[in-house]
Amino acid sequence: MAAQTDDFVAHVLVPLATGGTLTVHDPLDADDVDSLVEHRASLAGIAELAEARRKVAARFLYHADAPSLDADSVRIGVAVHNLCWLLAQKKHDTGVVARIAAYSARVARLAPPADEEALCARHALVDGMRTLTRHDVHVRFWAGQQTFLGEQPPQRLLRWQSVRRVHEDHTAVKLLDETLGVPSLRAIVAALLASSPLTHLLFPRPELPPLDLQRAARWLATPKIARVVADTWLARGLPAVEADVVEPLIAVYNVERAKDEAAIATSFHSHLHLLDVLARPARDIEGHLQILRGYTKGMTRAVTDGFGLHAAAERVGLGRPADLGLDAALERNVSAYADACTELVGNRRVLELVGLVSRGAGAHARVA
Amino acid sequence: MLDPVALHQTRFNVPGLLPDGRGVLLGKQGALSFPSVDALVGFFRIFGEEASLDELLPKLRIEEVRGQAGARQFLVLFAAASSYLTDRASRIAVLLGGLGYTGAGKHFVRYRDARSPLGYDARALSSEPGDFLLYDERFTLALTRVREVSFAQLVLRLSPRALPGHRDPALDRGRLWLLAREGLARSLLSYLWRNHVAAFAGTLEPTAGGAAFVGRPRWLLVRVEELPERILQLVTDLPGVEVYQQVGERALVQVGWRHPIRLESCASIFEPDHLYVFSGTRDAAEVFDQPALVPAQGLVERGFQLDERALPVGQAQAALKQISVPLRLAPSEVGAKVTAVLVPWARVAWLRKLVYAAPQRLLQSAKVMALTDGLLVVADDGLSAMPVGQPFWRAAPGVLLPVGYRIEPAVSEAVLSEHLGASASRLVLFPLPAGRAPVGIDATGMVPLGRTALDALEVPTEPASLALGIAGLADPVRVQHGKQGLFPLWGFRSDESE
Repeated sequence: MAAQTDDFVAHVLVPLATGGTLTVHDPLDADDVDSLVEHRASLAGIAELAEARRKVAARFLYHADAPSLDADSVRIGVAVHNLCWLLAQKKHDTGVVARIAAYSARVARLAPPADEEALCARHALVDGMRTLTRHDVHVRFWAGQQTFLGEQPPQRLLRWQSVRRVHEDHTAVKLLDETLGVPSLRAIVAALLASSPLTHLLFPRPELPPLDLQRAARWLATPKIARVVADTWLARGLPAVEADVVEPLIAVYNVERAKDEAAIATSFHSHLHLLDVLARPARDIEGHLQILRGYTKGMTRAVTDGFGLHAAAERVGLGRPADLGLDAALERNVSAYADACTELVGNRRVLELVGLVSRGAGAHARVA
Repeated sequence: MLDPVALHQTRFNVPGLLPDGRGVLLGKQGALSFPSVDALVGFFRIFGEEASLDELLPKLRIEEVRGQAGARQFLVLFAAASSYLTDRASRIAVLLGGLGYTGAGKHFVRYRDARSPLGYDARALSSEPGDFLLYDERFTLALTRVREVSFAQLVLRLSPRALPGHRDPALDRGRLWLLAREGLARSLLSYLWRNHVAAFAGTLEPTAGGAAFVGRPRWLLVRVEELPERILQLVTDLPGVEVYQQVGERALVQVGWRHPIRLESCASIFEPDHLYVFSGTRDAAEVFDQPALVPAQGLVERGFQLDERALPVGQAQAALKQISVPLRLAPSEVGAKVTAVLVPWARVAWLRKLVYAAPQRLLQSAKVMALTDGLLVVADDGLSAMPVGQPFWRAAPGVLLPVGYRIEPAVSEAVLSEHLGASASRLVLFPLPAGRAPVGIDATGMVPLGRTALDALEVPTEPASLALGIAGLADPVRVQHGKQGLFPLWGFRSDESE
């Protein structure tokens, strides 16, 4: 085991879970992964990592135990570490560097989490990827210039600044944004997000790989997780969520043998609408329509289709829980909202979406 | 004696006869015989009513002739320009008891009638002595010329006829002419001038060639426009004054009279630069040189003297003595639009409360400045909704006066602004009570009310919530590169199965 792997937990995993300075050394290969997995019990910083991950899991689970350092966590840490190292390289698609990128993407691909605890444990590490920031310094002096990525320039280069006309440019680089333009690095990010569905669900972004609602449907059907996801999405506002959700939702309708997942995703989507409706006083159709027009003004067609999908879900029986009828006033309000969605999108488009939802999620399908 | 002319007949016994385009036999001349002067005058009168006599006048001759039995007749000879003209002349002549003929030289045959629509030709030419031979159905008449009567002489020698009734219904009072004796000239003109009647007057001199007018007195000719009815009645009955209306361009006929011949249709007999006056009361036709008319006012005002006034005394330009009076405020019902409000410092607390209720437009447009007397709020859009403080209105650009007061003297806005040095960047405020010195305000130091409305507020940065998973890491992950190995890529094993 290389010397750098001794501090792998303290210098890589713990900063990912808690924030702080993540130190990057040479890229880690399969031997390093094996060594880390083998000696993970003796690595320094395990207790601190476990506590940090427990705190993250506690945001989702009422009773969250401190997760142990398993092989999946090591692989995630290695993938992130290598991703940071790759971002400091000039070329990524040739030679050994390309092999390292391919290996890092491969090592980041994990089986779906076994349970909520594993889901949250992975999220505790992958979530740190969103905030990866590198401080670069570009030094220009009388004889030339030099760039230092993520490290401080040597003091000798900064001496006699006036005589040598030394000029420093400090730049904070968001590493996640840097990966989006490089296919090999984007593959690593996609693999990490696929391994941590909760991270992807909580923070979908248009520039990131689209949501895989087929694989995420399991967690959307889990109340503990779905509750947090719904709260997070609605905090961004329903129109902003629709821009990220409508396309993956339509994509899952076109997947064969995924009717159950499509039904779950459709019900969760309508669940968001119902929560948004309940957050304001009851209105008639015109009142709802006034708000919806404000939502969709200047937005893309996808946003409008999001409201149409809710109206379509209402027609195929996926738009509301079965016990909504216990409260007549609430039912009238929800029905008025569905009618307003139809009025907003147009009945013709709603009929198209009804056909889409019926084909993808199955007509009259119900989610328990 | 006569044979009817057949269609397409080409040979005729009477020389000078030819069929025209319609087949009507027509000579170069037409001849109309009238048994009396009344018939002759009636012909010209009726023809003038229907058409212009100028069609006949170019080669018109009126001959007084006598027949073999000694009876006097009048023969009118005219150029037969067309059968249409001859048709009209013959029809009118027959109507008045005359006969129509056509021919040339001395031979004239009966013009066509209903029995012979194309005319007549003589069976044989007559050899009877005479100046004119008229061939008719039953006779051939030889006429001897007695004298020639000129048409102009006929017109001038005919007396106007009085119109029945007192008033001429066709009288146009828009332009009338007055003919007055010379002695009445000044009185008449003065009367017209006093009654504001537009009049142009001139003196008529009889033509030198008219022996009948030699020794006649001169006349005053006045052209009046829009003569009132009462003055028309007055001058009509006034001895020595005659009222005329213009007929044609050069003829005047007395009002209440009419010339037997329609003068408008025979304008060619009147010579240019002459004026023909037909008087009914005096039964005279007079010819005058065309007078030069001048406005009557120039003829009325007289009695000028050379020494009416002393010579004008030159006035030297004197230095302008400045008339300086102090500006002062005077109570007046002015200032409907409130432009500014001076809120005393004791009332600023009220203004602070009003800011909450102020519309956004007011907060954007209003500007404030702190003065000794209080807080000045200025808004060009109006501050009528501000119930606090002393309102001011804009008397001139940059000049603010208390509502209910105006400034005296009432100079123009530009003068007032220039005098006070007021402009968009420098306001001049006249505080109450009246008499206080105005206050100059540097408008560039005014700040929008909206910017001063908000109290200082520190907005603390809220740390990320940890309640749910919405918030991520409180501290970002900073990537730092540690020391690299000597050969970091050496022996990299990418495949786990290797």
